[in-house]
Amino acid sequence: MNHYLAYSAVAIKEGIAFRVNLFTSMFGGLFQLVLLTSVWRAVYLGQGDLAGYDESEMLFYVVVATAMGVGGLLSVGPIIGRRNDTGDIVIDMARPVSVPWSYFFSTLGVYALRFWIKGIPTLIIGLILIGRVPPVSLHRLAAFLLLLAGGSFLHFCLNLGVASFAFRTRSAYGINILWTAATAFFAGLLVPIAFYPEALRQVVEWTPFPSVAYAPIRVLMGDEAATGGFGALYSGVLRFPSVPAAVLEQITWILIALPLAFRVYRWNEKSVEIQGG
Amino acid sequence: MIELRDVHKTYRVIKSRPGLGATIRNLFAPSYSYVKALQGVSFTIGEGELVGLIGENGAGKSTLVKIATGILHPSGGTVLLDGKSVHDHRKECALKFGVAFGQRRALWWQLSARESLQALGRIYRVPSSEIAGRIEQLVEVFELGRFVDMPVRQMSLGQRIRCEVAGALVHRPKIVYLDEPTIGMDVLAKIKMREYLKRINREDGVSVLLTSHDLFDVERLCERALILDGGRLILDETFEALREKFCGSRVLRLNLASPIDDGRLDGIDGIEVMPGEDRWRLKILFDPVKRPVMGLITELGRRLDIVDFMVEDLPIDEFVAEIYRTRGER
Repeated sequence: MNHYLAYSAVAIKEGIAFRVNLFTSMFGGLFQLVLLTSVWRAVYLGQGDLAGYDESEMLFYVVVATAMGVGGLLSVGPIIGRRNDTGDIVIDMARPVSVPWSYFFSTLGVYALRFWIKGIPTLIIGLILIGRVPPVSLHRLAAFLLLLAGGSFLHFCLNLGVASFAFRTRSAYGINILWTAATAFFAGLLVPIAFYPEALRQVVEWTPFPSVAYAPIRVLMGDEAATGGFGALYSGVLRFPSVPAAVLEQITWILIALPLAFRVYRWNEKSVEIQGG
Repeated sequence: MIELRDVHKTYRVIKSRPGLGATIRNLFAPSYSYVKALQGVSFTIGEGELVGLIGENGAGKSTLVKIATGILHPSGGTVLLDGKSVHDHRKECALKFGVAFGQRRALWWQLSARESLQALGRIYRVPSSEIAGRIEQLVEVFELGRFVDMPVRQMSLGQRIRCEVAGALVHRPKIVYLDEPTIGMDVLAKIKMREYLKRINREDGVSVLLTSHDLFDVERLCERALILDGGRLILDETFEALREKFCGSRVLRLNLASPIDDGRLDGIDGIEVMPGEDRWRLKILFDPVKRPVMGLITELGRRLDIVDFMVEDLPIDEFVAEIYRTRGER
């Protein structure tokens, strides 16, 4: 384990060396927040509830989702893209470690910084901006943090499998853009999934994406989190309470995604072609 | 120790076509060509061997190193390290070797070299009580003291390469792969590196596979040469055997008072005019047993206006070039 933690330590040190980048990207998250809250305020002008959310709930959702998006998800796509493009992936593959796990621990180091320097400030400033901190029970907060960690890890697994196709396509640029857009859409980082048309919502609920962000946020907000997909199975058929059902749904997706992502990664890794010195 | 058996590697390369229309066509219907980077390469490197891998640009040297280290998967054949496939047991095998690529960065750009070496020590499972001592030893050997605490991005190329090579040795591997490690290194640093590699080879039985564009470096360190041409291993001999094979040959260097005309040396048997620098300087390859040097000089003196001459052994790069020329003529 110590040899993998070395990757996290290096990522933190490198992140601190890039501290100007960190702080400027924090402002990027804040601009995004101001834009989204303004749009939603305009949408709610003269409206009551929309898809079960009143305006203050919606603004709270936007603040938490934006904070998660900028500082709460483990993304391995940028590392894979960078290492593949420069050819330095050959160095990673020459080391006595599992390359995907070394990337996991590297992103964990990046995440440790981003969470505190981007995620938490975005959340605090966002809550000040909307002027409302809803009452959240301790057990809901604990469940949210657990689901946040699980969602982040699930995001890593899914991202690993998809980003590794860059070894075949020779570039991760398009894959990473597509991934960012797909996650924002399917995980409910931009718009709650409840807003989607019924047919699309049902499809999305049978994907792992809601467990990445939508379920944790709904748990924090005190809503029924496990309303579709495996969650509906656990809460509706097996009669689990909503929060444990959401946790179980997330664990189910991790158990599916983790071995699958590693298998896909290893399959794609065989296509790595870095020619020349 | 390490054994390559009938290793093949074929790369698929997208064919670029000239013109905007062709570029757009390529986007939807790309056409590919196939490059055979390695074609049936087999050899074994035993414990404590110092082996030089020589070849022209594109001969397959770097591909071979990447396959031998388990990084690239071969299109065919196997690579065994201590009897285990490096591709099936990559992590286990990676603990036994160290690798430095002159054109890749194993050190972290934003960290100091010392921090990078410490991280590498942890990654390679060096006991934490030993890491500092090993780093100090490498700092001393490679004379890194002046810059080891500087961020890697602020180092000169030569300084960085010295740290990269040190990074490949921090875990005391049994075999070291060095792919063009002397790029940017000054003469003293090259000598220090060679001395250290020879020392760990002598004392710990460490094997080395070195590729370098500088054949002088390879000859000074290695005992055995592997020569690649077009992805094929065309020669696997000790440098001593190579020298014996070519020891009959000498190079006669001539400085002339007036430029040589075409055809002036026609009809002189037993010599080969080598590619020279200009028409005032000639290099002639000859075998002194067949063409005694004084007789040759006398004959040349009748045809050329010789100012000065020198007879020397065939340098290593010349006899490797000679091997390539011989193959090209066949």
